[in-house]
Amino acid sequence: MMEMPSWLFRAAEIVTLLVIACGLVQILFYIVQLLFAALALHRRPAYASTSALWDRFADIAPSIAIVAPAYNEELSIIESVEALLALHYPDFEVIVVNDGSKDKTLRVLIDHYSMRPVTRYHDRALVHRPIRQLYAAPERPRLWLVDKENGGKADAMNAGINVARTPIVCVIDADTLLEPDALMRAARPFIEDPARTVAVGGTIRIANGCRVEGGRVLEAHLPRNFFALVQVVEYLRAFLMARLGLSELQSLMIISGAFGLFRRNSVIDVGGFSADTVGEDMELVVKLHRRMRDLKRPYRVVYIPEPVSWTEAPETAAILGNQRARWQRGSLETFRTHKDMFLNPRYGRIGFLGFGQVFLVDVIGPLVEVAGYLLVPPLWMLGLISVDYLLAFLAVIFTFGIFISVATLILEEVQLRRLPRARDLVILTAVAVLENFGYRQLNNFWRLRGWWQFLRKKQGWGKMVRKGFQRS
Amino acid sequence: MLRLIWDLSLLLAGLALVVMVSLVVLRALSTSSRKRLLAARRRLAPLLLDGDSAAYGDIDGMADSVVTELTLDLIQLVRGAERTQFIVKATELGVPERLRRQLRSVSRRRRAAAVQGLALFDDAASRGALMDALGDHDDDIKLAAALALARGETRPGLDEIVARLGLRDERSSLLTITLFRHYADYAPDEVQELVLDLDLPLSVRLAAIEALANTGDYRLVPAIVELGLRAPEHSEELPRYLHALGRIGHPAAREAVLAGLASSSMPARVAAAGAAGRIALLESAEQLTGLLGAPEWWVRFRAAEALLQLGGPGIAHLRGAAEHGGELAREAAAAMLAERGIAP
Repeated sequence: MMEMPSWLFRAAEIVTLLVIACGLVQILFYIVQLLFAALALHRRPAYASTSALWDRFADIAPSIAIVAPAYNEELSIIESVEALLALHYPDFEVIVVNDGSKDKTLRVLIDHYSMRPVTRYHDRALVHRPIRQLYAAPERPRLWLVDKENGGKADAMNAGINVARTPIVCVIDADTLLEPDALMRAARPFIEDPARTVAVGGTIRIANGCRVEGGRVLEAHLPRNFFALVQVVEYLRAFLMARLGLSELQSLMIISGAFGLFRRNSVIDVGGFSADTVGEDMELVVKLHRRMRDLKRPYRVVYIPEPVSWTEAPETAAILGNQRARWQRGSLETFRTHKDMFLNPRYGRIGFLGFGQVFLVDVIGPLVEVAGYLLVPPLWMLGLISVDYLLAFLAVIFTFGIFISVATLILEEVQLRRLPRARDLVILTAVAVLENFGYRQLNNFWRLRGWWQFLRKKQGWGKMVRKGFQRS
Repeated sequence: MLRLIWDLSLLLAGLALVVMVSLVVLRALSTSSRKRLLAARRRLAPLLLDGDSAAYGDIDGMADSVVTELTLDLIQLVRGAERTQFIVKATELGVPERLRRQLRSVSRRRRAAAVQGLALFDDAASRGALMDALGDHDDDIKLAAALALARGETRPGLDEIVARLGLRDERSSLLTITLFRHYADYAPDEVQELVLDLDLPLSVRLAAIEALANTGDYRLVPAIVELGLRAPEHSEELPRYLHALGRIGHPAAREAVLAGLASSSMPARVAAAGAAGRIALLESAEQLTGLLGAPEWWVRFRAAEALLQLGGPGIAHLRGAAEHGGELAREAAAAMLAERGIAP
C-alpha cells in the first residue's frame, strides 16, 4: 500500500478540527440560548388566565391594527376574518389587504360583509403598489379592506401599515390562526415598558393535525405526516430556545411575519418591510436594531412565548424544501445588506451576538456541516484521521443535536405544558432523536440550494401550496 | 480532548433522555389525577349552584384546590346579588383562609392566583393578607395586591402604596396608571400630591397626571399648564402633559396648547392638536390649518381631526385648505372632509 505524506495527515486533521470547532461553537451558542430561555421562562409573569390579563390590561391596552395580507384566499378568508374579529382585545381594527388576488377574495369579502367603498385619509410614508380602493363594513366597524395592485407580501404589509391609525400594528399571514387572547398577551411589553418596546414576537405552532373550527384551534393534536411532525420539534426549538434565549440576551434578530407586533412609528422610520428580499421579516428587525443603535436610544425587541398563533406547515418534501431554501436565501440577503453591522462594536451585542449567530448558523452553518459529511468519514476510512476525530464529529452533529432538541422539549413540558397528552411527549422525543438521521441532512441540502439561489440572485417566493386546516 | 467531546455529548444526550422519560411518567400520573379532579369538579358544581348549605357535607373529602378554583370561577362569572351569594358560600367553605395560606407558597404562580382570588373578598383578614403581599419579592404580585386593595372599600393611603411598591426608585409601567385611576376616583387629593411631589420619578408623576386627567378634575389644570410651559421642547413629558390637558378639556389649558402647536417636537404638536380639538379652542384654527401642511402624517391627521371638532369655523378652514392649500394640506383637508361625508 502506498504511504501517504505526513502533510496530508496534518491537513486532514486541520480540516476536521475546523469542522468540529465550528460545530462546537454552534452547540455552545445553543446551550447559552437554552439557559437564557429557561431563565426567561422562569421569570415570566405569573398571571396565566385570560381574565386576569383582561382585568389588568383592558383599561390601558394600546389600540392595535391587525394587518392581514391576502392573496388568493377566497376559500378561507371569511373564516380567517371572523376569527380575527372575535379576538379578545379591547381596542383593535382588522385591515385586510387584498394584494391583487386573481381569485374572488375581494368579491367574497365585499359580498359577505356588505362592504362599501370609502375614503380614509391615510399615510403615504411607506412605498407600495397603488391602492385601488378602500372599503369599510358598516356593520363591522372594526373591519377595513384595502384593495391594491399585486406587489407581494412585504408590499401588502406596507400598504396596511400606511392605512393603520393605531400606535401598534400586528402583522400576520391571512391564514394564521391567533388564539383568542394572543393580542392581549403580546401587547404586555408595550404596556409594561411603553417607552422602550419597539417590537414583540409570539410563538407560532404547527396546526396540521389539530381540530380547527371557525378559525380557532379547538383541539391540539400532533400531525401524522412525518415532515409536519418534525417541524413541530423544529418550531419548538426555534421559538422556545433560540428566539426566547436571544430575546433574553437582547439580541433577537427576527420576528416572524406570520405574527409580530411593531410600534408603527418605528416601522415607518425604517421604511417598512423591504420588498426586494424574501427575508423581509428578519430584515425589518435588523433595520430597527440599526436605527435604534444609531440613534443611541434605549429600546427592546422582545419575544414572549405565550401569545400563540398556529400555522399550516408544508407536508411534502418539495414544498418544504422550497420554503427552507427561501428562508436560507432571506437570511443571506439580510446578512449581505447589513454586513457592516457584523462584529461592529458600534452595534454592540447585535453586531457580535445577533450577527454572530446569523453568521455561524445561517451563513457558514450548512456549508461547514455538508463539508463535514463529505470529508470526515472518507478521511477516517482512508486512515488520515483517527477514530477520535470521527467521534468528535459525530458528537457535534448527532448526539449534541439530540441533547438540544430533547432539552427544548423538557423546557416546554416543565414550563408551558402545551402538549395535551403524555403520548405526544413520547412521539416528539422519538422525533427529536430521529430527525438527526436523515432529515437534518436533507434540510442541509435544501439550505445549500438556498445558498445557490442566493449566489444566482434568484428572486421570488416559489410555489407554496396549502392543503388547508382540518376543519371539523 | 476529542474523546471528551464525544463522552460529554453522550452524557448530555443520555441525561436529557432520562429526564424526558421521567417527565413522561410524571405527565401520565398527573393526567389521571387531573381526571379525578375534573370529576370532583363536576360533582361539586351542582352543589354550589343549588344554594343549600346543608349539602356542603357532601363536599368533605374533596380536594381543596377543586373547591377553591370552582368557587372563584363562579364568583367571577356572575354580578350583583348572585355574586354576593357566591362570596358568602365561598367564605363558609373556607376559601379565603385557603387563599391566605396559598400566599405563603413558594410557587410564584400559586401566590399570584391567591392574590387574584383574595381580591374578591373584601374582609379585614383578606385585606391584611393583601397588605402582606405588598411585601412579596415578585413585582407582579406586589402590583396585583395593590390593585386588589385599591378596588376595595377600605383602601390604604396612596403614599403607603407608592412606598411599598418602590415606585420612588423604579421606572413605572402603564399599569401604574390603572392603580392611580382607582385612587383618583375616591381620593384625587392623594393623587394630586404625587403630581406635585418633585422627588418622585417623572414617570410616576406622569402616570398620576394621566389618572387624574381621566377623572376630568379641573383643579389640576393650572399646575399641568405650568408644567407644560416649562417642559423642555423635545422631552417625553411635554406630549403627555398636553394629552392630559386634552383629556380634561378645560379652556384654561389655552396657553399651553397654543405653545404646543408651535413646538418643533412632532409628538408635542400631535398631542397639542388633539387637545385643541377636544377643548374646541377656536383661536387655534389658524395654527391647525398651518399644521395641515406638516411633513408628518400624524400631525396633519390630528390637525384635520381637530378642525372638524371645532365645528363650522374649523370646517371652513378645512374647505379653504382643500382648495387653496399646499399639496399635503389639500390632500389632508379633502380626504378628511370626504371621510366624514362633508361636502368640500
